[in-house]
Amino acid sequence: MVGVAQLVERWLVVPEVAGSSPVIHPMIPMDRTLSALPVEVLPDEDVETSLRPEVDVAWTTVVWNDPVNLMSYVVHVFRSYFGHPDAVARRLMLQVHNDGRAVVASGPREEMERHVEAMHEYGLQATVERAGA
Amino acid sequence: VTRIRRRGQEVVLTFSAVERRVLGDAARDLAELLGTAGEQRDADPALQRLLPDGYRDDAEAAGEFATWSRPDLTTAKIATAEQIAAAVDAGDDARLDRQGVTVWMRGLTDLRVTLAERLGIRTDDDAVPDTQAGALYWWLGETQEMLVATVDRWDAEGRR
Repeated sequence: MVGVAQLVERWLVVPEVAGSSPVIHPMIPMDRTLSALPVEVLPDEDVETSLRPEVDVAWTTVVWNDPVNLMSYVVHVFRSYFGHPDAVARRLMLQVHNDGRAVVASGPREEMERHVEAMHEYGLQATVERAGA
Repeated sequence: VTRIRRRGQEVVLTFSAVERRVLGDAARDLAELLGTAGEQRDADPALQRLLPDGYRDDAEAAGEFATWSRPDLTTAKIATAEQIAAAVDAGDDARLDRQGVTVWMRGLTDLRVTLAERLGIRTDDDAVPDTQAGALYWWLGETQEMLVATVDRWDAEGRR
């Protein structure tokens, strides 16, 4: 079994190679992460319900804000997994940032559970929620 | 510094010796950590972020969701971490097809999620510490950013 302290210690040590310093440079600015975007006022559009016009929309897939994921990656996931056009994917990403969460899909419960599992595979924080909850 | 470029139907990542060792070690640590998820998931906040609940405010539904989805999710994340470790062990160049890029983006994300928890980056207000582990966190983010940009251009070509 791996101890947490052991992992931290290992991860805290960047191995040195003789004759060269570690070539790891902090180049990516914080403001590219999902949660560090400037707050924007968005048009009050009901994006989620207009995207999936199924009859059974009693359940939703909710993606939550987190301080780790890059906004470019979140847009990529919404575009490539859900097939959203770039503008819709970007608007949903901004909703996650501005509101702390966004409904990215609606429909039958089983389908929403598959979406949430897929989001977890991508490393996003997502949950199933009853519509209107 | 890592180079990432498209070559036909592949994306090629070129790492330095140091980067290969650091990334390989981190990916192996992640696979090992995920291997403890069966017993440790509820006790380790990093595992809770890697393997999140599927429901909030409904413990019973969350439990059922975890029962059917978590073993497969854990297995997939271990395989992803091991794939990254094997690729950087094999040589300076990691050659990825389109699906391989998705695997890497997921794996880099899992590494960043885990490292963020270990570094105390849990809310928007938490700063990345000015340490080597913090530098690794930045480097993983930079590599991820380049990979996303590269695959987005590739996907855009496919849509034209």
